[in-house]
Amino acid sequence: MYIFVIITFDKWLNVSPLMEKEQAKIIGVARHRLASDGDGVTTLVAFHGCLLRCRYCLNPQSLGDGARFRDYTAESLFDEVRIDELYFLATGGGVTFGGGEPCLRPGFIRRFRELCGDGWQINLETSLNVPANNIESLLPVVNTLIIDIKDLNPGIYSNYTGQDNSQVLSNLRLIADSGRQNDCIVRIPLIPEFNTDADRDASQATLEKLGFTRFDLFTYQIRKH
Amino acid sequence: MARGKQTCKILKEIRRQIAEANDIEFATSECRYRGDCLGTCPKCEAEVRYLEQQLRARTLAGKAVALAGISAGMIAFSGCGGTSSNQSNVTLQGEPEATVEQIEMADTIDEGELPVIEDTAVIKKGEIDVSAFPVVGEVSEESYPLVDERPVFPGNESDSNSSKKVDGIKECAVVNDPNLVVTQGEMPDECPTMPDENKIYFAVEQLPEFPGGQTAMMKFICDNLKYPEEMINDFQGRVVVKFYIDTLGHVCAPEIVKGRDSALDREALRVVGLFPDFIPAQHLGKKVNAWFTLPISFKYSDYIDYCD
Repeated sequence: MYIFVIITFDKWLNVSPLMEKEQAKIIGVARHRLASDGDGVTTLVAFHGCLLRCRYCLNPQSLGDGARFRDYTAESLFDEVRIDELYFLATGGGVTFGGGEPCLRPGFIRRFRELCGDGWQINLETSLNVPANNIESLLPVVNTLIIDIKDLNPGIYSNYTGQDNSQVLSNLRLIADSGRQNDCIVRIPLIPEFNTDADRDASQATLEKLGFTRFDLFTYQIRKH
Repeated sequence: MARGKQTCKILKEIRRQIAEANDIEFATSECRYRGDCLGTCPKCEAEVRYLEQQLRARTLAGKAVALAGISAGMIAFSGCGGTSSNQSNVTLQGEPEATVEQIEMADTIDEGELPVIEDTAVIKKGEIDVSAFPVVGEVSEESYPLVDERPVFPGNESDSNSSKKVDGIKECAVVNDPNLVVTQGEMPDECPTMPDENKIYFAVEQLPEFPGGQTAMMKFICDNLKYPEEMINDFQGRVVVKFYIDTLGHVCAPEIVKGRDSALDREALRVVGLFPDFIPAQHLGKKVNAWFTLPISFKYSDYIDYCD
């Protein structure tokens, strides 16, 4: 009898409609991104929160405890961005999650995929410096991963981001083992004062050994915030 | 051309292609908007809603809808394809299949245009129909497809295994003009998550509302509008009044944006001046100032059934 009660309660927890919906802090929703964040017309959704502290962070408002964010559920976000569904479907576009680090919110993104269906592209702009479970959870529901690896040299990476990159390397292997390399665009930046072209060559060579073929070589813009 | 204008051109071309592919009558009129274009405006949004409505009607009628990917070639992702030896990063692997300039040449429609539904709509008997016209600042609840009414468009499967090369503008090729280039992943400043209490918004989550709703507003106009008798049956047009509703619900700065006759313009402004306070607009969870444009019909017979 005692066991029965516990099992019943556990089931109730899993199916209860009262279960709280996951919320995420989002620093901005930018519509009508053309040729900048994925194929077609895309809406960029930037999460608050990132484990890295990159010197030239593009969205520093995603860090810290500033009030420049708003809480969304996947449902409320979907309600807001669906206004552009016609453009998404006609152009093969959709929603690109950036940030911040979108891969810290796999549950939110998976729920969003349930809501939007298969017709929308879902792209991630990620550093991959997240637990492997998060990537495993996200791979089935995303179309394209735009991965900014910074630099694969652990020393350079640590200097630039303040973090270790072992998780990045293991997640790259995880993606390769899943055969999803062609769904990835790997960004290999020239980071002023942190790496060189030779460093980038080394990063690219390592990535090619893993089967990645789509690279984006560019130079970080140094911005004053 | 500023980025917003470019975006407007491209989105307009997408709309045109959708209409063409589905035999939807579609025409635009000249844009009269002179401010900074953000790439879309209420009139552009009204065109999208119009297309959605037409596509939904086609679906309900059992007709085929062509939508998935019909404009896919227009916008190629700007992920870069440079090489490590290309330190200057100016060599791109490709260019977008259709440039903005090409689109402009192929399309004589001006940006931010008035949608066809404004200029060609037939005013039905009794109509002082706010919802039928694109209200400046309006992205109304009625305009949004509800979840349960979301149109299901056929053939929208995505090609998640595409291995094509990426091409287009790259971050490294950015020029120092923020109006011209969007940096991948960068959240622009004009997309704050907290509303600006001093700004007058064009698009808001919840529109300002006349107390009692649209029907009450129609009745109010009917009860108060004094039609010049000498013009009965002579004038079939509308006067369009623009104003904004502040965070207290007050009607502010009414002006004629499409006038017909000085007497009629004055009468429309007089009636708007009699409006009670509205329920203010809300955006991002806060009350905000919001523009409101109201077409007032001066077709006398339209009012007979509504006035006491």
